[in-house]
Amino acid sequence: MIEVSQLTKHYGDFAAVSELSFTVHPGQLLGLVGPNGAGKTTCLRCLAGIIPPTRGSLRLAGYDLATDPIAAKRHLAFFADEPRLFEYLTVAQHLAFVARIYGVKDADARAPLLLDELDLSDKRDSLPGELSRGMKQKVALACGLIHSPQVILFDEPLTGLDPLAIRRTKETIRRLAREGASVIISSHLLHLLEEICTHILIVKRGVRAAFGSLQEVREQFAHGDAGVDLEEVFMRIATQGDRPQPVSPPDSAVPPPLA
Amino acid sequence: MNTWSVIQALFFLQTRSVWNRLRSQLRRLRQPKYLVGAVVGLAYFYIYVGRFVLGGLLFPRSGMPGLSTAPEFDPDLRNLIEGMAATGVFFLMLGAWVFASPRSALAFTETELAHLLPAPISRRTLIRYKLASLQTGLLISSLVLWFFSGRSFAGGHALLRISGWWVVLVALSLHGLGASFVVQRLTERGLSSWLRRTLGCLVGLALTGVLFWWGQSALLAKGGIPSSFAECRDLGQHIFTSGPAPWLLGPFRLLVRPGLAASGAEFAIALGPALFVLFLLFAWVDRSDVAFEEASIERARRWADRIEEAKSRRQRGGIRKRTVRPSAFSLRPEGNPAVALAWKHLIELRFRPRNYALALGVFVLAAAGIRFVPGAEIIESLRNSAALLPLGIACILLIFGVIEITARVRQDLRRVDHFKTMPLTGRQFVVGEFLGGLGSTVCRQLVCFVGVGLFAIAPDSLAVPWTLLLGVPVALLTIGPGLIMLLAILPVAAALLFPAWMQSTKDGPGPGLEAIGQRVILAVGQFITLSASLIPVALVAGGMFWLGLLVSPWVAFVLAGGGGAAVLYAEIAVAIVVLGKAYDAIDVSQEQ
Repeated sequence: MIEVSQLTKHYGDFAAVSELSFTVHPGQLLGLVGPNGAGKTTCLRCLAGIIPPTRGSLRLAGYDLATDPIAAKRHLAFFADEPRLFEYLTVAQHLAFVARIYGVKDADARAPLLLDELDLSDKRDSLPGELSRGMKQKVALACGLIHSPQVILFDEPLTGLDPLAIRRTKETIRRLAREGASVIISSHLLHLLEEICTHILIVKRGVRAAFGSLQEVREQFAHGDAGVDLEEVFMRIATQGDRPQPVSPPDSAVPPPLA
Repeated sequence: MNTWSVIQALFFLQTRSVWNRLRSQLRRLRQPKYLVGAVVGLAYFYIYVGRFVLGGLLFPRSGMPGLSTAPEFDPDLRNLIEGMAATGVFFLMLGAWVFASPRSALAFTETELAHLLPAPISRRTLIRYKLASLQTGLLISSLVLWFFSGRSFAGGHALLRISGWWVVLVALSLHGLGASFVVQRLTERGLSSWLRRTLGCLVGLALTGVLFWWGQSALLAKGGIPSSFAECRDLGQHIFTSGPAPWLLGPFRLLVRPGLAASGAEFAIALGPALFVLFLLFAWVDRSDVAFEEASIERARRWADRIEEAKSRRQRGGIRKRTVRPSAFSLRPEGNPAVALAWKHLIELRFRPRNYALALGVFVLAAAGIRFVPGAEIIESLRNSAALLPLGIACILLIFGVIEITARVRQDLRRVDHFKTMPLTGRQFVVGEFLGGLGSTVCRQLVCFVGVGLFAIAPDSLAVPWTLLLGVPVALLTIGPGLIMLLAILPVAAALLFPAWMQSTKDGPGPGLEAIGQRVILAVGQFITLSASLIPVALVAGGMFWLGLLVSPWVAFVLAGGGGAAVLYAEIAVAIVVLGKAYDAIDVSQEQ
């Protein structure tokens, strides 16, 4: 479970994120949407423990990120938009390294399975420099999944992938949620989010502009129009001139039944 | 779009880029840790460079302290230097013809090319823009050259010397550009590179031959080879101030003369002809209409690739081919995560047990050779002192250990945002970094110590006593890792406290003036840390030694060593805790 309460992050005098609160239950897939500079990446980086929030509380899998960061991070996987790999470690060595960092007891058994699942078995002794971007993405995915995280954060997960890899990544994300992980995906690909997410959080100028299940968000901004999709909702929020007032649907929602 | 608008736009680009970079650096000074560095850097810069420049400006003769004793320029010596400098400029310019690529390429960045090539800007304007944008770099180079070419040599005329260097550098860059254009045109017309290079070499040889011939004729007239500095100087003067040299080197002398002027008036007189030569060179380049675009794109791409490679690998000695490196040991998935970091570093450092076995084999063979090869005198002396060689190497490795640890930390801090998502405490991170750097160094030292032992038993008699030969390795093995860590603490602390300086954040503005100050602080701090840390070690070791003497000298040595080492490692443990906290406190969002 991801619990965010009153998250605020200031860069000097500039408030990148203000008083942001939401909860993602196990099995939920939250799409994080917003115009450029809205504070999505700051929010994700705070959640990943990369930067400390100025105020607010962040709990991952029941652990407070500020007071018990190690326990919280043990249940976290963060996938940046660019796969971050070590130049001189092979694919198999990457998994060994990450397994030790996260203390994965059954890593020897899990690693081959993961490599198999991600079609990386024949690349286990390759260096990142010998892999395509899609392959690197898969290696990053394998590293992030070897410790069976309960909290998963994706920052633009489909950037640079071919159609086949896109489909497989979407399937993997859905499977992770089905298996009980709380997932946040930050992306500008609204059709992707509409396709796989159960919930949507729209931020604008660091403030929550909309939050709820996909259906709730659509209805909230339909204003009587029929067939309003996420893109239309986004456009309506993005083109509102004033600073959005935080709307107040419940901070968390009961997870809908997963398909 | 007219030329003037383009020039205005390009001027805007240059000035804004410089200003914005400066502003980002200044903004960083709001953090006291960078402000202190900047103040020290400024003071350092002023003491070593600024006061001489200001001295030249404010006290043109000899008013500046430290410069009043600077030697005045001897006119004869100046003539000689002028001739030699002109010859140097001649050969540098000749080199531009000999070594020029068949395709001329201007040094644009990829971003500049992406914006400027598709824009409605004439080729001539692009060349002018490039020439203008080079000037900042040339001015800095002039300052550096003046600094290293003897700032006190010029008395209080620093600005004249710097301007003189600038004239020469501008001439060289203009000529280099013009030559590359002509070379491309000649290549397109069928002139092969080897013929061009041969012709260039022939011209160089011709000038050398003429100077040599003229010098030899002077020698013959004088009747012998010069035997003193004064005679050499006279000969040089004869070569460069009479005969064909003044004519052949005339234009080049005009270029170097302003930099050697003895006064402001002399500089002003010398500057006119030099500027005229620069104008001719500029007109030559400006009127060239050579297609440099394609080669420039290729060059920019090559440079971008190199920078990217260097950034991502940042290995000593530059770029290396990536090959799979075996693990030093099998990493179990359970246990202290710090070991994983050390394991990763050993892979990156190409730690191969096979190489150590090979080094041991070499030591065994060498020791056997020394023991059994019947010997001349040199072999005898080798027998007695060969053990000192691996011992010396082991001591030098202490320094390499420090470099290794610092390099590992800096490398990993470049991806601190990646590590921050991992369940690693700051202490584990620091221990992992230290272990990684230490592991390979200690193993190398161990091999050296085995070598010491082998060489020590090889001869019949030793140049140094056994106790020393065995005592030093034992001492180094005991306190060596501690000393390495102690010396590494400050650079590691600097890397953790000043991540922007270490460029761990890829989007930062890079180091500014504060980097100089931080280096000065680091050097002084390292000295103070080492001294302060070793004082308690020495006190405890001394006390234990005194106590041990009550029993026996051997007990005294063991107690002193053990007590000293215990204090040393306790200090390091405290330092690791503090450094770990510094890692935990890194906020990458503040390091822009």
